[in-house]
Amino acid sequence: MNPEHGLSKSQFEVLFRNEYKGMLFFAISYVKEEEAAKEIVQEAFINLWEKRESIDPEREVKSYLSASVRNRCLNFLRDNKRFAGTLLSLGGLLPIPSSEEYNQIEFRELSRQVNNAIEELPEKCREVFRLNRFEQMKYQQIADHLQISVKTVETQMSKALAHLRTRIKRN
Amino acid sequence: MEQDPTYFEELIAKYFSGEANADEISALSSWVETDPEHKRVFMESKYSWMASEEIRVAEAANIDLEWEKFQKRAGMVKDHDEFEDRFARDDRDIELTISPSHHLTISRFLMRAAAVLLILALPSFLLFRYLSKPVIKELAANTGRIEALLPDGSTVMLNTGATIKYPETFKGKKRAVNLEGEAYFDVAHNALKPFIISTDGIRVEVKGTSFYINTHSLNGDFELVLTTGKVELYFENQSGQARVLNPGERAVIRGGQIIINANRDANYMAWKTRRIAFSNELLTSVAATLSKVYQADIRLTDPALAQCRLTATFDNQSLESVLNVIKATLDVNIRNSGSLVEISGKGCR
Repeated sequence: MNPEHGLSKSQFEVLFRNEYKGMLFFAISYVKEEEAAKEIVQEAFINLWEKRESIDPEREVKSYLSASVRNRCLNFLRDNKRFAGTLLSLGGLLPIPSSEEYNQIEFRELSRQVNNAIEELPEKCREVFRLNRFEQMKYQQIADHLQISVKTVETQMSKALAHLRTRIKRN
Repeated sequence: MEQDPTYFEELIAKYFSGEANADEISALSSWVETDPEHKRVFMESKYSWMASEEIRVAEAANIDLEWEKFQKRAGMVKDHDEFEDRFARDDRDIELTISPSHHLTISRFLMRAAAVLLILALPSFLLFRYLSKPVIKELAANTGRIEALLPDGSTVMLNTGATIKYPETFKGKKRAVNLEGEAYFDVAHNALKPFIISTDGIRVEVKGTSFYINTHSLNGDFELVLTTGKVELYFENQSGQARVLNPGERAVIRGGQIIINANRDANYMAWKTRRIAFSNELLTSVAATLSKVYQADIRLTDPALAQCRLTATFDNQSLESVLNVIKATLDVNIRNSGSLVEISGKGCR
């Protein structure tokens, strides 16, 4: 391999570690399925690795990678017909990523906004939200766990979501 | 009726959490449609909900593990696949290595050593390739039903007489198995790697689902009943003309045609569950079902019996006690000589 062109293994590892989470986020925002998104990102990196000798490490890598992830996502959606029926059939509500190309800064910024917004929630509200979103607990399970009523869980969840709505800004 | 706006805020959160019932979803849906401001609230809620979910998943990813996975798949780690790939790709390179013109500085001894090594190495390479071909497992339910766990976590219950062939591990883009006979599949979901059952030029493509399949039913037809999920059915090399089956539907292939209609056979799973229900069923059809479930040959010896009807439920009963019930309710004679059961009588009126 000519070291003047292409990526060495160690360069590639740095790239992988820097870009992986952003690419995974990008893929999940399309396909909404964790396992499928992970598979897509792996395939995109494999494809990039196979082409490493012909790629300019300074310029093309990220745009190549994001375009590759995006195309794989679209193929996946096409093959699995996932556009319809995922959520309320209120025409055109699915937030498909609008930017043509994934932007690393967007992911970092959004990640920061989300984490800050969750941190800002009152303690009890944050706990309910965390149990539901991160521990995947149902309302009833949360109610049992925290010894509160299901109605209180409903109230806290809507409070948390209303707060997130004001703090997370769409670009 | 006018609802408190916080009621709908709660509904939105419930809806995204999967806690809303059908009435609540339709209430939310009309609330969203009545006012552009409502729609804005809903859209923004949805955006932040999904953003938090997607960020959570991305941040929770284990990079070390993913990097390890990547290295294996990219062949960075010396494992069998890379070894095999390199050999398959570089046959010509091996010749080049021993070509003297390219290695003028190498001593004769070394060259001879290289040649000897190559000759010794070649058969073992071939052996290695041979051994690393996918190992096909074959499982035959010769004497009774068997349940098997496939390499992807799917399960299959084979009825007596059925045979399945499958690779020890599913490599590549598909999970392909071959089936002869009658079976019930519960297929593990993997949208990126479709599960494909092939039999006599017919293909069943599955995307995480459970269904009953019989490649040779009593009258020789291919038969498939879908319990849950979705499957596609097509003839070999005609995947473009696949027919889609929905839960509760039954597909039969007869005369080169795929025929799909609602499944009317309540007992299609009886061979697995040993639960049989007959509701005013013709005795001919009762005999056919019992033959299948109990792997016996049950015949009506008097044509008059064909008009008799039976209503009864059997839960995990032996064939003998089922026959006793029939004998008592329909006033027939039954002769049971091992695998052949003959039912005779004057008929019903």
